Amino acid sequence: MTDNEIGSMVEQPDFQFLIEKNADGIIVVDEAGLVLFANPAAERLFGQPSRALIGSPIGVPIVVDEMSEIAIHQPGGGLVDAEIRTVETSWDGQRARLASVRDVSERRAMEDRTRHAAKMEAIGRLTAGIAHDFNNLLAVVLGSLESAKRRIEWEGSELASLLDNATRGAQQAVLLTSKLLAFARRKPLEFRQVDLSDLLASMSDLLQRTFDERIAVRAEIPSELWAVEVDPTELEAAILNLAVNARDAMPDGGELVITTENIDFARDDAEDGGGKAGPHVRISVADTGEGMTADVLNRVLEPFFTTKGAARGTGLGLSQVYGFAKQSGGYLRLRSEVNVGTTVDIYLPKAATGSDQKPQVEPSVELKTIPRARSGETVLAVEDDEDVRAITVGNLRELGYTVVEAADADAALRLLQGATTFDLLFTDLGLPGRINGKMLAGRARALHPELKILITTAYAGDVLIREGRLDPEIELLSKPFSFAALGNRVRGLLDGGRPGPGRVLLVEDEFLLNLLVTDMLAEAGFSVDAAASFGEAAKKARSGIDDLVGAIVDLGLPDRPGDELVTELRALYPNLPVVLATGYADDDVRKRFSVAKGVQLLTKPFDLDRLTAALGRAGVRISPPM
Amino acid sequence: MAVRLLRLYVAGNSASSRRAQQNLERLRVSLGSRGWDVEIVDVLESPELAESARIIATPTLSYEDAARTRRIVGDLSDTARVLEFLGIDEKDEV
Repeated sequence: MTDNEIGSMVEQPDFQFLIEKNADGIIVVDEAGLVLFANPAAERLFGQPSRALIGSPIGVPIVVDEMSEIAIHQPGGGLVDAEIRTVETSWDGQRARLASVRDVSERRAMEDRTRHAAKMEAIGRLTAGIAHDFNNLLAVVLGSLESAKRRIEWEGSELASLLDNATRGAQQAVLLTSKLLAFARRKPLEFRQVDLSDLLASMSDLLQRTFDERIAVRAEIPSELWAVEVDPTELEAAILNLAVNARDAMPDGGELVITTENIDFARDDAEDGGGKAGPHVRISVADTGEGMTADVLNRVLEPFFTTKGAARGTGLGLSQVYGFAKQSGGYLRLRSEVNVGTTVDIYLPKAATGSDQKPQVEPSVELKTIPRARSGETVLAVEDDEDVRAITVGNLRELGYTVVEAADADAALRLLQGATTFDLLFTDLGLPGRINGKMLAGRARALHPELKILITTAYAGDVLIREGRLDPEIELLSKPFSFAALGNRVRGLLDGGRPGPGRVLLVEDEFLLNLLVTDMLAEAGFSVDAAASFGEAAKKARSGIDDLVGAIVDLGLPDRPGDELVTELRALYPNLPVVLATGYADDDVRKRFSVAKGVQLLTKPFDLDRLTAALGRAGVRISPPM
Repeated sequence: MAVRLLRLYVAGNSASSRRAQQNLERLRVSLGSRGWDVEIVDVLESPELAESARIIATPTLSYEDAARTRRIVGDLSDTARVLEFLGIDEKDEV
């Protein structure tokens, strides 16, 4: 059936009706480009009644292919994106063009938002990746600082406070990365009881420091504020949004005031019907800026509504605040007067009593008593680097051992053949000359089968960890090692024969972190089998690991994901306790990876206490410190 | 011959505005420099000009002719028809 046939079969009034009711604007334009007819949708689209439109010189619409994109200018400055399609027609016997005009501004805006959302998503993923890697690095920094602090603890020097400062800095960085991770993932609100006084005080401090000095930031925050249950990250974002709005409203400077108050509407009577009864905490952010007209005030909560130029505002600021208040069970109130200023009140309901659970602050665990030497125990320390030797020898002497030192294997062998009886050989793996630490160990063992041997190296990752393990009877202590690790390992070896807590398989591809965790495990008394990839770990596991009591697996391994390794390991060693270490947040991992039952998650960065606690939860027997 | 004026009304830097400007540039090339002036008016920058010319959609190309002003709306992709509507007969010009 052709169009003409439809035309002849449909009644003329039906076409009339269709044009009247059409959602697209329909206009007829004559040869001179003047409007002859406009339907109701066109009136809306052009923002003019049909009597004004008729006779307007819109111009002859010329459309190549299917349609042409145009912008419609409404009286008063409104701009509407539209698509125009035309067909030739006749009107009162004259040639004319019939054009349908479709409003696509909504679709455009949607496309823009989708593009923006995709960009944010990409930034989020990028951020998560960076935060994850950064956590690995922080683990190393924090772990090493911890070690350093232990070493100088007995000195109580200025150095100790410098190290404390460095540790605080690194811990701040941990917080920062966790914020980045929080930003990166799309998370539901995480309600927590929040101390508003602390949060707002630190926010106002931040604002004062970042804003132009012409803007004075003042905070009046009583300390006895009721607790509220909100997502602190969202609350911070809300305050920040309000503050940025306030700043933009005061281009010539002014005052930004944050005030808070406990309000019990049951007693004070909610002034209007919108206010909810019950105790609330009011947070007000007030500025002395340009203010808003009633018109603008009516629309400010709409998403994407903005009075700022395209480059400055997304129009999401106040709608975030509104959404936050609503989701937190509270509400917003806005007051504004042109050239006087704007005040935004956020009312948040007081947290239900009884659930007053402050975040548990783990008491910092005091240094465990590090096992000392028994009288007369003698150690031969072999280390070519003079500084390192001085520190090592100093540590061992501090632990109570008699120490004889040697700078190379030849000197050590001469000493071993001499009159002194040594209980332990503590040697660096990399020694100058033909004989390295491992060979020295072999010769020493040949001379004195009872001699205990402990090898230390900073390159364990290359020489030992990646190329198969050392002979089982040789014990390894990775550099940098802590004072406690040294004390524990030396004591453990000398008390030898006594079964240790067993062997732990450590799978971590980040070299420094591998060393650090090896050191931590050694400090806790474990022997360590280290691997840097899925393949390496699986190979080790398949060839059999004696006395394996547990595994620590990094989730992000270079070849295959860590959670798959857990499955593999458990097939070989049923119910093997496993700690899955990850730079991501807990619930993210659970969503994205299969975390087997009984597997403990450990978020990086972690310290020795958290590591042993996680191993304990996974089911590894943790021996009390000797 | 008096200088004749083509005026193109656009709205900012939108895709259709840019396309219209490019197409007009092509048109200028095809017309050669025979007493034609081309003027671009951004209605976002000069709303008063748009108002006095009663521009209700962009891009609009206006041929300011003493006898009668011709006006077309669209992105000017169809050069031949654009010329035809403006009443410029290429053969006449030669």
